[in-house]
Amino acid sequence: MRNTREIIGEEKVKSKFGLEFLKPSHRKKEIERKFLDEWEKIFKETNSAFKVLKNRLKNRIVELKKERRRGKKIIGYFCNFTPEELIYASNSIPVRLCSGSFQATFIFDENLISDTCPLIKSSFGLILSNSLFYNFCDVIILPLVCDGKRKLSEILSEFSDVWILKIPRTKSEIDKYLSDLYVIKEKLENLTGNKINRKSLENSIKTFHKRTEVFREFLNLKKESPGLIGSLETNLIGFTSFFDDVEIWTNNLKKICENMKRNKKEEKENKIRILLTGSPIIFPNTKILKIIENYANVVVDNFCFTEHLYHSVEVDDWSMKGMMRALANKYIAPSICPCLLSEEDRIDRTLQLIEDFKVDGVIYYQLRNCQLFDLEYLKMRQVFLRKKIPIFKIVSDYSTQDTEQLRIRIETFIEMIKRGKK
Amino acid sequence: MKLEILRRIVRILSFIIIIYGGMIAYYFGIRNFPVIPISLPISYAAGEKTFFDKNYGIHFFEDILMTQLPIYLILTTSIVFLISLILFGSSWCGWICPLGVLQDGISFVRRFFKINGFKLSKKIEKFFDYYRYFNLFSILLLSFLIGDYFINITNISSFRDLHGKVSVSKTSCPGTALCFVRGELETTIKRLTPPSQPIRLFFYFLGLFSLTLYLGSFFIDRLYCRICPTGAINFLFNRGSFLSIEKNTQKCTKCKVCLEVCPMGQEKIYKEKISKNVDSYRCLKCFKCVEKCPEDNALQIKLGKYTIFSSKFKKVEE
Repeated sequence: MRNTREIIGEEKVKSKFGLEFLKPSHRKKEIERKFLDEWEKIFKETNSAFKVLKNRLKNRIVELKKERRRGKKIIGYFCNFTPEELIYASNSIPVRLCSGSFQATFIFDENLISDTCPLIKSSFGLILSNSLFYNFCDVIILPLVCDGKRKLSEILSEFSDVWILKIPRTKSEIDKYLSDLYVIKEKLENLTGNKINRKSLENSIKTFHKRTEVFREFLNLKKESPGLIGSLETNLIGFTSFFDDVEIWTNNLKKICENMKRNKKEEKENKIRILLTGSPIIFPNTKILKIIENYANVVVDNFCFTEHLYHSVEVDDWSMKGMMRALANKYIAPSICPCLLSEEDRIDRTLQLIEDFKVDGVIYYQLRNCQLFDLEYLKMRQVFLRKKIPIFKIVSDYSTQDTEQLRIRIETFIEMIKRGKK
Repeated sequence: MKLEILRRIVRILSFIIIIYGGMIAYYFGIRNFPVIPISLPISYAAGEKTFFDKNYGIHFFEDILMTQLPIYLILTTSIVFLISLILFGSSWCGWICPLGVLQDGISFVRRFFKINGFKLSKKIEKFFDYYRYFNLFSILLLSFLIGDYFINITNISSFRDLHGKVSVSKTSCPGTALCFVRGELETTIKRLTPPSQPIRLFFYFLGLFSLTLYLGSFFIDRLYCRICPTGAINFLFNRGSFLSIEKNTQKCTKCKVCLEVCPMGQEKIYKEKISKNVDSYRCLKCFKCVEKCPEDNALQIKLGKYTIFSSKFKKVEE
């Protein structure tokens, strides 16, 4: 009996160690079309000031191709535990591979029907199908964060070079991470042939510091007039930082901030203010943002990638060791990722944001099958209820099936806040 | 105003006044200084070429134990000392102490050339926490054994040899480096040559040890301050002094910059999660942590009720 898949005409991809995966070439077009459609659509809904970013995705893909032909290395990474500064200092390009594409998850499902984290499924799919900017990486740096990423590193190592970055389980073990950074640094130097010396690292730290400065300015703008910048915009900005060049990104955001300052008057009407936190909502998985925006203003979205932009490497001692220490500190110490024993750091941070942005209610988003975010919620809920801040958890994945159900639940939650306010 | 600039100005001014002030006064013909009641007992003026040659901190306490000082001197100086400690805690260490200023100067050279430094591990830091007080009490005990009172009571011969000849706190003080700065090369050489007497050799090595620690501040910030006996006294008054650091635990993002910046490796400011009060024993009150903190108003310097300075996110300098 012939395999049904063979009838359809699907080829198989052989990995380094002889494992066979279905070749997802038929998916590639669909993924890219959907992705670009969403990309176009989002600019119709967002503020006109954000038009600057519109061409960035397509242009960047062309740019990356060019740079690669010129011999620059492109280094993919996951999570906000990978030091971009180091990659940038070695004169190669960091590209973050975390993905939110629903279509890409099918590629994983075709090979193995499983209940894993959709982020991992999707990223795997995009990398296997070589779509968009996900296909240029010479090396993938994968921090061993949660269990999903741990195993993903194994799977991905079948197709490309994967460097593992060990992440400590507690924040006090920061020295282990630091020693691992030195390993990554050496590997980067060997790959690119460029020495990461004091000057290049100092330069790159300063460049990334400027990114933080502009992002904080952007957040301040949001704080002053919260209706002006919605969560779609913030999410877009976060997402563009995944693939865009730092300097271009910083300049673009600067332009956006200036534009926004000029248009300050056109504020939306007074809506309920929502803080959105939890698992990262990565473009094009923006369905929840769109639902909430219908009923309320999302004034803060506190995800790992926005936090990553918010923090900067603060160096006191500009020697090589001092800078590396500061790097390690930045990536581990203020992290709110639940994979670390963060000791209520996330709760403190969220409480502070609630105070700063005068938030009415909190929506906690959890990607389906993410244990860590699920368990983190337990403590958070108790603390928030004690402080009489309404908090509400939604569990969802990248599929659009549950949109209506989510809409009803979110609407009722916001209705409840409104009544509570009166 | 930038705290860094203010600190530098205060440090350089106080360094000049303390180290060269006596010489300057001597040059202008002022021979006898009255006791100036500012935060520290400044006396024994111009004749000694400095404002205070004998009497600050550990040297003062040693003098009390060793020689029969007039009571009015003991009272006035100790009261002034106490009041300054209650008001400002150990900010003497971070802002004025010439030994500290010179150490910072040494580490500034390292920072300027961007040479790799070290950080002490937690274990060593903890060891020094105990050693500092061991150092203080051993100095006080030894000076008491050598001093007038003990000799008057008992007649132990080995101590009799040393009576009035050795000052424990001074031999174990890295002030040798300061003598060098002051232009007293003779004293420096005298202190650096090993003595012939075997008992004195012990004190000689004690001094050499602290001098190496002192010069070690090239690689490790404020290394000598880890064992400084005067600091040991100052640190005791740190908690509850009027000049204090306050932390907003909610605003803090635990980014660890305060610990990274701290010359004494004090973890309390980073780790504290409940209480506002983050003053700790091992703290110089240099307020570097407040200055470098990237979170707006997360750390504040308070004088009593009033906020003097609060932290702010800073743009990187070109």
